[in-house]
Amino acid sequence: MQSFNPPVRTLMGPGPSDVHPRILSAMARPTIGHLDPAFVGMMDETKEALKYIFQTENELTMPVSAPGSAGMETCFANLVEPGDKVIVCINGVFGMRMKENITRFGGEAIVVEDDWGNAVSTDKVEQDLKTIQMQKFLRLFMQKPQQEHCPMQKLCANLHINTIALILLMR
Amino acid sequence: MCKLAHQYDCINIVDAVTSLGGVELRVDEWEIDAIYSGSQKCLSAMPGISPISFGDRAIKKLTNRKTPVTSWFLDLNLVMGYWGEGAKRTYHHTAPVNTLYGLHESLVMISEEGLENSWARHQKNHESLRDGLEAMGISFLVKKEDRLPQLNAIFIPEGADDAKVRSTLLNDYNLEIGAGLGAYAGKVWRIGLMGYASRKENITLCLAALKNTLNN
Repeated sequence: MQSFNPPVRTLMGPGPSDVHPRILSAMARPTIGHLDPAFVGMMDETKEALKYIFQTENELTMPVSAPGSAGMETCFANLVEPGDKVIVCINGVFGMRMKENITRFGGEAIVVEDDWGNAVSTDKVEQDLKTIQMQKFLRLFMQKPQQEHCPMQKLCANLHINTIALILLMR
Repeated sequence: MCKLAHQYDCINIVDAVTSLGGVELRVDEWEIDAIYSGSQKCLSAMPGISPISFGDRAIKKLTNRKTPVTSWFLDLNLVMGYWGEGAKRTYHHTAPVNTLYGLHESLVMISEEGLENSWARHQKNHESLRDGLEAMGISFLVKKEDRLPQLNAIFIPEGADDAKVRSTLLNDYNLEIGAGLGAYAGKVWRIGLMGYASRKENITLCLAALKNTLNN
């Protein structure tokens, strides 16, 4: 067994992408304890910077210690309870993964599909929301839906809302 | 979509793995309740970290649970004992220290560049790549208004051998591009232009390498 020296590639696939040399250098700096006050200071800066790039004031903004799949699972594990109804928009492979997450955490997945590659139609989602509301025996207050679907679809297109899940709250 | 969710008394969860840092994203303004991303796309960092953010509605759902979170490792009630406010940190698990140095540095870099400048750079580079690909007669899978600038899904040209082209690009040019997934396996290629990879040299390399490979 010998040291692994990877070839130098240009990464233009779906990810991981090219890592900037500054970041590789940063990773090579000396390890300190994860409870070391110096490390804690860096953690606080990291959280503030994450708030900036998410454009949020949310205090619960932090890096999960595992890749994006764990971030997805964090959301579903914490927010889905057995019996919850969750609408999941599938227009790509990660929608399938969200559905899997939902059912594993005891939720009921309601799938809204659109052609892979298209932004999921808000009309389709609204249809599902309406149908579910009618089936519910609990009265949830409903407001008249806004007619301005255009900006909303633009939001969907701009966000990689390749996948989005909506969890129905029971009152 | 998020405002629609709130009209119907739902909370929303958004996947921003590919979009964070690369396109406009405003968690508070767009009323996003819970969101997750990845470090290895537009942040130019190594894989291994998933930045997340939970808003008040999501936190309320979490704290009002009738059953415990079934995953101990991912339970935010516990995790926030380590990552939460205040100087006292309660041990939950061992954080990936060096990887977090990498994330921290990527955040320094994106602050230096400016978030909106990063969005603009991704868009501009996407357009350069798109123009070059279209000039070669290659077309895009997604309609223009729905495209994400960081991930360019293109139809494999008629007569091209999918696997052979990708392996030639890898072996001869050290260039990795993505295969199609699921229903699109064998039909599309996915070319990423994310973070540090989103730069002129890469666009030039990609177009030239693809052109040479397809011509042979």
